[in-house]
Amino acid sequence: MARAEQVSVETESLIRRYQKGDELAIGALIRRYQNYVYRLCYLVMRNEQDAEDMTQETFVRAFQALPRYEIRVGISFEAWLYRIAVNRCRSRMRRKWYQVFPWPSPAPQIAADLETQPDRLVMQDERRSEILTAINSLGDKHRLVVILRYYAGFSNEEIAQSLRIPSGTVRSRLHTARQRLKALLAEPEETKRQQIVSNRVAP
Amino acid sequence: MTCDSASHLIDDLLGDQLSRREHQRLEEHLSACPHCTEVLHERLALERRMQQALTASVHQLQLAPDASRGLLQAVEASLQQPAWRSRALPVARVLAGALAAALLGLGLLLLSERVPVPSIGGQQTGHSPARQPALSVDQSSISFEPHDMVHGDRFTVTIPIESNLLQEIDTVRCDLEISGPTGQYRFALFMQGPLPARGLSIIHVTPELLARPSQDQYQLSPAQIFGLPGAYTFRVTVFSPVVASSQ
Repeated sequence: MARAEQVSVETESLIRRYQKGDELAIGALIRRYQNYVYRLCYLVMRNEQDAEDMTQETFVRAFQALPRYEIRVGISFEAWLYRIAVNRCRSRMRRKWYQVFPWPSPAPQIAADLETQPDRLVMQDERRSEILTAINSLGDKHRLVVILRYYAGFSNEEIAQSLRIPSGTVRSRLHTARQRLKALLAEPEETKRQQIVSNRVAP
Repeated sequence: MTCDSASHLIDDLLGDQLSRREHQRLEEHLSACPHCTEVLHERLALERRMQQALTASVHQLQLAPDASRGLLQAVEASLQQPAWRSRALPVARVLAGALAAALLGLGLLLLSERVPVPSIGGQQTGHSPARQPALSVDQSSISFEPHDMVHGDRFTVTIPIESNLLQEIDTVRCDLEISGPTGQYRFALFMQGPLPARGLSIIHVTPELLARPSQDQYQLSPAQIFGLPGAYTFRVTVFSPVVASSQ
């Protein structure tokens, strides 16, 4: 995703208005950035409900900190929001809020129903879907750096600062993630499926 | 420069971490090494594909209007907190915290002699009595939209669990039973906390959650559970807090 390297004039004006006490700037800033944050949260959390929750938490934190926010050249407002968002998501993920254990009692007719899935469920771009599946099959540590690098457009240094880990660790995680993705995308279909399941269970 | 060193520099190049001098050294190596040039092109191609896949997967995603309204309300409500909470001197905040902790400790000490250890079992279908330590789920508040599920639709089931226990707990078992045209399914949801001692906790059951592989590799997809159009009903049972090791 293309990310601005600095705060735009409109955003700067809204931030200054908010810092001077203009509460109308709150809604304007939220409308301007809510989908940026929501999309990142969705990629990290992988479901709409958690993404909505994390978007809310991100903006609550952001507006509490915004009076002390300093506009600087080279650091965009999006990057600042992304940093808050990713830390809110990590915090939620660390809580391991719930795990699900299905009880093995599916109805017998289910297998037959699966054969008649409608065509609209078939992805238009299988290759793209395959890459996304491979990224989602990574463990959280590696998946997060991949999202920040390739979606948010963060440099290794920015990822390190956001996740509060050494820059060398970022480099190593990205390297490992790339190797796994490369291997996964080159594997035959059956091996790939098994690998995805095993990665998810034991990241 | 060896190809191994060049590989590390390619990593740094892609991570915007290459100095001008290293950039120059890498360029010199690449101009004489077709293998590393090929490696660079492969990595650039993989990066481009990852960027495209990630961006395309969410570029049409938008926060729902009601969620957007909720977001604005939540931000405005958080900013209307008393000024002392956000601006008071650190010393004042520490003293206030210490006073609150002392009062809470005293309260717990007094309560611990009168209130039995929490023990919850069976199905709870309403709010528990105010003085009885319990976890409960209000069946009437379980929301499920749309009620008539069409194959492939997205959904979220929101389960509110109310607690008036004396201390926060690590794990709660909550059984979810889904009945519909495709049959009956039962899920054991182990919620790992901390679950707050008092107040409302919300569990959001989504297709992604139900499709998550279990420890024994048994996996159901939402398409399996909601494979036919029709009305589906949900029943939730909350059990006693359990320790994580009992899973």
